[in-house]
Amino acid sequence: MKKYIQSLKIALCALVFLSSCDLLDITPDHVVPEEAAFSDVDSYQMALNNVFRKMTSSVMNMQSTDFASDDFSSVLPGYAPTNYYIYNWDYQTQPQPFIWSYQYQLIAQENVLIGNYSIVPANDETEQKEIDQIYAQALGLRAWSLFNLVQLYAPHYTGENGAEAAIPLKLKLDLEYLPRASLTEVFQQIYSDLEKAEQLFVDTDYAPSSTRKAYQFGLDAVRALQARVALFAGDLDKAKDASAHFIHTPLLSKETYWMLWEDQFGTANKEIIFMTHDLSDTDDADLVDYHEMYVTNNVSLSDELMTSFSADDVRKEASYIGPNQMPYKHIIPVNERNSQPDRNLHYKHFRLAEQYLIYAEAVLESAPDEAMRVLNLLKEARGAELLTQAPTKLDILNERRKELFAEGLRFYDLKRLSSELNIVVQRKDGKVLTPNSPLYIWDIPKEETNSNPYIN
Amino acid sequence: MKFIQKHLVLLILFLSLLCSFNTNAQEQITVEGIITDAQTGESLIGATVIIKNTTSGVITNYEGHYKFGGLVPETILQYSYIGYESQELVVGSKTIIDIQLQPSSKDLEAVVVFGENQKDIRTITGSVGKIDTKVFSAGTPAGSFDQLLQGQVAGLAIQSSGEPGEKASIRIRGNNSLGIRAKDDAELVSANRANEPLYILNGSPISSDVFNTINPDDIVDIRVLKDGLSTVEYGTRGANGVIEIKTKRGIVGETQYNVRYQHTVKPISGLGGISLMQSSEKLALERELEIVSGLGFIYTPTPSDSEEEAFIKNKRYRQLESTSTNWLKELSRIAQVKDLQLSISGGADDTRYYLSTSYYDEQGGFDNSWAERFTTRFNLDHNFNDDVSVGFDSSVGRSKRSKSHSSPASLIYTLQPYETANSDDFIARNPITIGGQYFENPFDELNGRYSDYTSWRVDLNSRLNWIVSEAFNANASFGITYNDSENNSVTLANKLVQDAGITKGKGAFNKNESKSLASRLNLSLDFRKRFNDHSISVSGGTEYIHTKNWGFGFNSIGISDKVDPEIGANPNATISTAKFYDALLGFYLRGNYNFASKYNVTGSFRYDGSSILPEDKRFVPAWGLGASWNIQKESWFEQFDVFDQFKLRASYGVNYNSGGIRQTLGLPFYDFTNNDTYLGDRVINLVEFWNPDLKFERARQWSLALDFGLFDHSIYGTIEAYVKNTDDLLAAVDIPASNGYSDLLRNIGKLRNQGIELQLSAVTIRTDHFRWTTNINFAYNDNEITDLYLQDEIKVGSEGYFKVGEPINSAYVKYWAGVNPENGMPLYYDENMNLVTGGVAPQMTGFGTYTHPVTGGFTNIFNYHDLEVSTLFTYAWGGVNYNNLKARMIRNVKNGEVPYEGFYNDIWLKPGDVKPLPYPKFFSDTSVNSLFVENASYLRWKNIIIRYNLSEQLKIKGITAFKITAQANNLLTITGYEGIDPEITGIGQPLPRSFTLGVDVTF
Repeated sequence: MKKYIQSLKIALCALVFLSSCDLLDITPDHVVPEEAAFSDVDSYQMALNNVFRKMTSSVMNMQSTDFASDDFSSVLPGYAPTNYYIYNWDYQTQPQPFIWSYQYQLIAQENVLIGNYSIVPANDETEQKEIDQIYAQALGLRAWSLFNLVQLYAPHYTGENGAEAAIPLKLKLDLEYLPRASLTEVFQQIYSDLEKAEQLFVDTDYAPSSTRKAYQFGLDAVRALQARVALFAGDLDKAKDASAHFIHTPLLSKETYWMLWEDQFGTANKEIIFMTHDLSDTDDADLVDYHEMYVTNNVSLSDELMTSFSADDVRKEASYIGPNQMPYKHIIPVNERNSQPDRNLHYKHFRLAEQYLIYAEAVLESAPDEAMRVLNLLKEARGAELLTQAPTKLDILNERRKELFAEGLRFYDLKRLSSELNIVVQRKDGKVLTPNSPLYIWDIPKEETNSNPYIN
Repeated sequence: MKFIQKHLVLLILFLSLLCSFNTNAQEQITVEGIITDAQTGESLIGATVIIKNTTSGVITNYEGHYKFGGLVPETILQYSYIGYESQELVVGSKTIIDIQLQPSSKDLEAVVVFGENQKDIRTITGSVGKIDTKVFSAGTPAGSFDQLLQGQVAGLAIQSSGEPGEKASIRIRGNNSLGIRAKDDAELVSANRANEPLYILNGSPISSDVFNTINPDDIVDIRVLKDGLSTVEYGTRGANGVIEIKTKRGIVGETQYNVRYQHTVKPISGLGGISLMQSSEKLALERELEIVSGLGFIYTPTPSDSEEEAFIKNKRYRQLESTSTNWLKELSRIAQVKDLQLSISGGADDTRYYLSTSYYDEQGGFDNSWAERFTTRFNLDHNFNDDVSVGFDSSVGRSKRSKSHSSPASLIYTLQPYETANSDDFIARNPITIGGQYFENPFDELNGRYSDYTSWRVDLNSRLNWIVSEAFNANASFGITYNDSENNSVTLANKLVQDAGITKGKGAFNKNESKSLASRLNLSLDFRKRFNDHSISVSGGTEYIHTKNWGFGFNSIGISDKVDPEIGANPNATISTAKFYDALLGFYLRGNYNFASKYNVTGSFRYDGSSILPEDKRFVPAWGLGASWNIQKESWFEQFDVFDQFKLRASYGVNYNSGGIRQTLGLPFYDFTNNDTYLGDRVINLVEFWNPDLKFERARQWSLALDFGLFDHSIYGTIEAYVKNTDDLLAAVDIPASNGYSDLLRNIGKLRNQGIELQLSAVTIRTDHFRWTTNINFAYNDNEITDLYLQDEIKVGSEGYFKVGEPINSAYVKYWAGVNPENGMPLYYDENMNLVTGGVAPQMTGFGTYTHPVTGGFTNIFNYHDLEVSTLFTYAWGGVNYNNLKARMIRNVKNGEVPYEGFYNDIWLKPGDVKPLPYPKFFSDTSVNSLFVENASYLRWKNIIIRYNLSEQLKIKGITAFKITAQANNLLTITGYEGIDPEITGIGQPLPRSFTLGVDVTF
């Protein structure tokens, strides 16, 4: 019996010994919890870098919306049928357009910054300014993502239909099941984010270095976005005020137009407001964006668009799509300045010319001559025929089409103006996109409707 | 031609064997047979057979088989085994003598050999299926032993991929967790993980990734723990069932040397039930559909052609029509598999040992597909004295396999039958026209992108057993498992890819190394006591498992072709590292009470803590209860004397499954170790979306079983019914994409699996010289989602669908209604059976489930003198499979891909056509469609194995067995499925047919 007790004791001791040490207290040391992650301004900046990096992916720009516009006269399904479905305004067939998912992915990364703003400690005033400026960029970027989503997945905001359901307003990182907010709520959020961002930049004396300026979503980008949002929301005063910041900055001349695309850092080139750095020289950008458009989908350009360029218009070459010809906007052609065949461009999301166009449109009714003057500045810089009398809204729209081709704005423009200007888009097989057609509102994809009880 | 040669060889061999029987008429008799446990029918390894009153004798081998020569009819043989009652028998004229030994003691009493309990007392009340050594030692040479488990145990479902060295997917009693039908490999891996059983090799948990480092021939048995009670001892890891793998230990007796070599030939397999379109049909199709990339279109004369042009075009067209390339054959090879095994086993008195080494080399169907394995194992057991014994077990295994990123089976659809390998006006392979195809020569594509995987596994286990007193027995075991695996992925430079602006065109190399070290300590104390008819045993202990994982990798783009691509490093290489630890601490207690070997009650409890859960919910209790009643021991049952055994048992158990839970899933964590940069600056990112509410999935299982033995030990069987309720189901389900993340592991609901299993093994005929053994197993499993908490349906991705009342893995597809004869567009039904078009067609269930409710297999073994023929059939019934190949063909034909023969007649071409398939130009929809859901029930003749022991004929001194074997695998599949193979999901090749010849010498 004694023996039993002895051995039991041994066993018990072993058990107690094993359980008393903290055998299970293993905290992961390969990843960093939230508080530790945002304990300094450098790490906060790295989270912003993550947003920009995400935007470099070809699927992150809004270019696939161009397939729904009238810029292409033919599109093949190839191995990338999604663009073909967009071309046919079929937003249901699998694979559905990814814009919804991708823009909300961006918003999540932006919400990481916005949500953790308050926990980033600053050692001095300079650091606090840096933190504020990072935060301001995140606010501006989120406003931009929300704007893109509301443009596609909600009815066009006319100012009167503010009560209509728009998109979920995703303002924090946590898991949420959100119903659609109203158009008013969405635009209010966008405006307030942008105002807050603008204020922060002004208060902190935002002065980026000239080499980094176009890569930051800084004061200029926020104002450019303000102008864009206001134009599409029909708030012409706001559009005018925001774009007025830009119309005194000179455009490149017709002769130096190439610099816009090829010489991104030249001091003469002041046309770039915001761009993302292309990663095609790394393994991170496998399929560059033009690839799908020109190779897989084998698009042809609408004749109407091609013939609308006047003979000396330098943009014609930059927009032209043909065998072995890709437009400037995506790839730098092999020429006397460049010998490398696969050099991608840094994608330019906000450009000076758009601000000229916004300004012209915003003042068109109140000051048609001023509109003509500003529009002519752009036309002259591009080698286009100058206007001799005040432009019509259609003139401005046509100029936007030529200037901003393949930059993801044409479909928004059609949605905004087709009813006023009675524009009907027709496909070869007879399908039509009439003004106010429900096809202007993209279907919310399965990735949302599958699991969101409020949206189906 | 090769086939025929092969068959001829087999036939001649077989005939020569039959002829050789005549030489048996001698005075001296050789007997052989199998010694089994009379209660369970399990074979006994190391049982002794001696001539009465002498010391001359033999022992049974790992199959429980013995062979004893030089006897005369009057010889009395004595059969004995520790813990069993001996039997004696006069040889007479028999050549096959099978013996069933009765256990001498009560159920609970240990049959302890070298400190190891030989009896699995869990089988008293629980459900433990056993797979015999024969499956591994005499089965098909296999890169991974799991491929051999199919059809062996009721309720164990295996799906193998057919790739050299690749593991199979294994499920016990259905899917416990939700898993969605996988479209691609990555998805498959994550779905597999959550449902995988726990694998235990000689006591230590192992990952299924190292299966290919284990030598199947070293396995002595595999036990499959299915019920809720027997899995309790694995606590939080056991809810999906447990597979225990035990390797061979030495057999005390004369040293046995065994050498075995098997050579397998795998001819080029076809495409199952599919034949591809021939040149003339393909050219006509291209003409008709105006496939601009196709030569058929290009060489179609047009009215504007000059006479000369038209002549050239027609001439070329006829040339093309007469070419007929079988690309599968061009790209494939006849594969060889070599398998060499050496082992030494023996021991004397208080020491026994086993030593083995093996080499395995398997070729796949083309150059870059192969697998290789080297293993060695040594173990030693020693009794210091009557009370203390120690055991040591070590093994080293290395496996290496290679896989091309494409395969002949994936390429052939893009290669035209009218082109040859030497064609230079190929069109279909022109990267400018066809996106994603970047090769001129298909061999470049086959050889230019590949991955190889090397893994090393070192296991060291030691064990100490101390019989403290008659009642107490203490055990300690300690083991470490070290894995080192390396995964290299090579993309050779490719001009075409480079020209398309893709940076990988410069060549890329990616290397990932991961290491893990798992240490395990197990301490336990057993107590046994008997008072008259009562006996009690209690066993308690603790287990601690600590796992360290490290990873290192680099990725470089732009590799020089002047060095081995696997060196790969260059100035632009980016590196990645990983390191994480986890630990598990468990306490367990198991008790058993037995009355008069009639009534038995078992209880088991385990309290497990895991470092992957937050501190406040770290520990989880698993427990189970079971009872059994040996009815045949009741006096009133004696009238049913056909029954040797009639035992009823029932059990209930609560288990947990932590599948898929990671520590980083509980809270937001940020990744500071990624390679990503933007403008040269670092980026940090959320590691993954988190779920603070995660908990372990819980399974509660009832089992009720009847074990019976009939007709004087000729039939053993078990009928078992179970109900398994799983709640807090873990599943990665969709969350609204507006969160920025689209899926998340969550506890989503409840699931019920219920089913019936039947396992029967019978000696159908047993005469003095002939024995026919049959093993049959059958399993029916039905599963149903019983609760999805607050929802009544959950959709996952584009085709996963869970609804209360429906089975998981239901096909959730659009309901195909045919082709609109007006315009050739596909039509579908909606819920109300109205016709709708593709974009708005709803998905629905009602087309079956991707998991077969019925699975099983049957084995027949015939023994006549020295000849043994065994054959295995497996079957599955009631499930569907998605014919991805057909879907791809119809979708991609407009891009120039090659569909099946006769396709031209199946498609709509002009208004008024009533055809089963739409106009291909209008069909790009990738969403799943009932048209491609096909019944995938099948019956497969898995193998036939012929073994003949030549030692009698050869009479070489010292050789105790000289077996030659011939076998054929995957001979025939009967199925209504129209894809490549009912067992294969996705686009692949049928399970390869193979033929093996082998020789197995023991001396």
